[in-house]
Amino acid sequence: MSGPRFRDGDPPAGLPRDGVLPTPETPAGVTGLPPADSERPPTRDDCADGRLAATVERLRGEVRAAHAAAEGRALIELAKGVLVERLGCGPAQAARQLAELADRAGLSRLELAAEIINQAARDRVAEVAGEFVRTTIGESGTAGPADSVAVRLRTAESAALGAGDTQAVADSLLAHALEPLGAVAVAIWTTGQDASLSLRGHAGFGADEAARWHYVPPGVTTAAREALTGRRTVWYPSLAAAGIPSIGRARHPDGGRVVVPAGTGGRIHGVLEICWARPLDPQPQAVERQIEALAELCAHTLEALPEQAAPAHSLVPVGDGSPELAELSDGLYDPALVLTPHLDEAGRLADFRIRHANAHFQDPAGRPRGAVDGALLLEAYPATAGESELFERIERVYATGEPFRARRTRLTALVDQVPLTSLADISISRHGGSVLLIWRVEDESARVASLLQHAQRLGRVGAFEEDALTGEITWHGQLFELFGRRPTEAPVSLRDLAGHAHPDDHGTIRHFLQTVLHQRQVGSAAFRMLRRDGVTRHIRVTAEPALGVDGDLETVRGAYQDISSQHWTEVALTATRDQLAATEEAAEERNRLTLQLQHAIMPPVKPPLDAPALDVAVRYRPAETESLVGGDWYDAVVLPSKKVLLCVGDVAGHGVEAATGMVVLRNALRGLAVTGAGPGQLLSWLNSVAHHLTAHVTATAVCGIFDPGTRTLRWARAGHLPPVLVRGNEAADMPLLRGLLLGALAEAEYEEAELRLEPDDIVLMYTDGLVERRDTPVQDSVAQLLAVAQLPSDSLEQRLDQMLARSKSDTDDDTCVVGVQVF
Amino acid sequence: MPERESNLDVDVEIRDARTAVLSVGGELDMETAGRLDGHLAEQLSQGRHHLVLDLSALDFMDSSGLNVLIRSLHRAREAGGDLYLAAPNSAVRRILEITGVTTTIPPHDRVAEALAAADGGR
Repeated sequence: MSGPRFRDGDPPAGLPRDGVLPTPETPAGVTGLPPADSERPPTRDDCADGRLAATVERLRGEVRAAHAAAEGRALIELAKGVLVERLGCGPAQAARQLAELADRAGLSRLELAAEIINQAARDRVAEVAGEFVRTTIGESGTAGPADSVAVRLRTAESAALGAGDTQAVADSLLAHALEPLGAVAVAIWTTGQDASLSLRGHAGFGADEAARWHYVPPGVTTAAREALTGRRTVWYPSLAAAGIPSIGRARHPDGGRVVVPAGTGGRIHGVLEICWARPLDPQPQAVERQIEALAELCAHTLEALPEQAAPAHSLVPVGDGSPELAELSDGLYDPALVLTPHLDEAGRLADFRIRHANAHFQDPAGRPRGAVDGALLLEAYPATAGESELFERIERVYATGEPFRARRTRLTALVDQVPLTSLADISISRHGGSVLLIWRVEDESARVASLLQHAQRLGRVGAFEEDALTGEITWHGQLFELFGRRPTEAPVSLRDLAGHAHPDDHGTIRHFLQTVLHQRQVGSAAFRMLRRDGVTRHIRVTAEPALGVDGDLETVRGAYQDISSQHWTEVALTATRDQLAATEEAAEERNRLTLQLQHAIMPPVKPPLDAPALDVAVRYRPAETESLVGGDWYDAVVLPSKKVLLCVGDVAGHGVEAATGMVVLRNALRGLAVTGAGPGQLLSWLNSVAHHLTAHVTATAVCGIFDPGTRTLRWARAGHLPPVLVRGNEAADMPLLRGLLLGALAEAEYEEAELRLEPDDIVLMYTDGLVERRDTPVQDSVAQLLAVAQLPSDSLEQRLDQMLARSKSDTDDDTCVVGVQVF
Repeated sequence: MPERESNLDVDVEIRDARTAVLSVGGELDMETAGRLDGHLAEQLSQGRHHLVLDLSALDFMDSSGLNVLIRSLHRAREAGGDLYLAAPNSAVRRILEITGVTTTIPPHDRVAEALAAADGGR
């Protein structure tokens, strides 16, 4: 290629292909002019900041002068600067070269200067201008307007760069770039650290309106804010129709507006707001691009402002980190990352670099800190770009400066390619050119604390703290609800507690306060709280005093618990206990009844029996333990036949049931005996009675019929110990006749025996209460009984007493003894 | 009357689907009879209707204990089985004799004999 290419694939009209300007391919003098066919336009970092800005700096004085005389002069000077550098010539030669070229190309020197700068800069302005040229040429076939656009933009740019402040930039923008578009006013806003907006430059609105709008606090929605939070250009065909306030709305209520975020490297430094007097029709794309280019121009200006902290937007951010922020993050008790933006070659925000992982940082994937520190965020945590939208949030915070805080945000981390999700509280904020990301994973202790809260709620517990010096009271949890007070009301102090309690409990509370406040010991009291709503709650208060180093009472801490439900449980328990006591009483009553029954039926000492030739004595000794009073019985009755029925029996078991069984069997036997049947038959019938008439009752009995006429005793036994015969000085038990205990089988037969008694013979019938011992076989006990029974005595009564007194029984059974003596 | 604890040990050995041997040791009285009753009822409910009571370690039995034997005897016989008593000591044997139970349930001297009787009772 032999000549310069001013626009990609579009040779400029009037410029020679074989010009003096070296082509990019020409080795001579080429010190960095980017290849024209490179895929991307070089960034301003390469060109503008590197050479152009340096040149501007060198020519600053001249540019100022040019600004005063003719804005275009600055452009020419710039172009001359470019030529000086490219051609390695002096300024004078460059000026001559410029004039010569302009003549040859048929352009004004100003237009050529703009072209030269476009070519050199290859920036957004050049792009826009080029595009505009193509569009307009396509439409009108002339290049004039296109060139003027390039001139306008470059003029505005150079003015902006030359301007000492943003106000001058605004003036310049309006004059050179915006009025041709029909705009009447322009405002340049900068964003503060807190996402507030400050008016840094304005033109066309008037000083008063500007003064009114010098500051827009964070959170106030204006047209400019929409661009900031939306991070995009917003067009308002009519501001009034959009119903959104902004500067100059009073003067141009129906006028169109456009607000453009002005950012570099992913960070929005401010907003460019352009105002039209009339409603705005949709603008061609070329105009939109032009306005965006102007916004970018603003951004560079704003970025360079001394008030603005210099952002780290370079491709080589080494050394521009924020050590203070890193220091700060190390002081946090939660994990934190300090991030700085990472730009791609085109200067666009591509990622964030993790500049610092703080002391509490723990990698979810378990990697060492070093593996994360210094890495790119998306490389270290690819999942941040995913569902959690964390990356997007960081990006947004970086762009707008508006901090982001959210509780219980779902975070996903890839651990060994497995996505692990956890809930975390997130805080993202921008500090200078860095972003601080703090998170608190909801961990065990937090969960325990939360559990505790729930437990307090469920347990109806509320904690309190009372400062003894200031009287300040802190109530936690549900105390207000417990006390029936609104949260806006003052908490109740301990000293005023009595006023909320039942008068009967005032003493209790006084004692409690005495313990805690004066004796300075842990105290507790239960009282009835009378709430204003008429509800009475049973409350337990527990408190402990906290003493200072000098032993003075500093704080009282404690808790109230609503124990109403427990109280009623206790009441119920007490009632149950009362009932139980009543049951015990009833049991005692039953035992007394049993005993009375026994006594009623069988007086302990039988009144003399009017039986001929027979002395009868009885002893009944109930069990010492009343509940063990049981079913022993005896009977001695003269039958109509003048024979005497003698009987001793023992119903198994104790208590009312046994006693009832005893009554049944005793009366049954009396009744059956009237028939005149023998003892074997009587027991057989009695067995049937026991088996069929009484449930699960077995009994033993011995039954004798004494005939006074013949002094014979016919007897039988049903599982009972046989009677004892005392004759003279000897006692012997009678034979063990065959006879099963009563009630065991439906039918049973009982062996009978007959004994002819001699005068003074004594027959003893007894129940096993007299002999039963756990450690002695019954035969041994009976042998001992026989030994006692044969001891001499003055009377039958005395003999029975003697037997009872010497009884070795240890089973606390009741005991019956019947003795008959023949005379 | 001093408080005293009655002790009853019951070991259940399941011989087959229809036979169980219950070794009863200690004292069978009003306090403990219910426990033996429970064991016997349990075996009966499991279909083991031939119940052998090894009484060799039984020291004492009162009327309540006797009642349990009688009741279980009825239940076992109603179910087609029987109750067998084995190896009572002399004191317990005397009680069984006095109450006439020996005529209804003749005790066997040894468990093996009771088991043989149980097998023959099928």
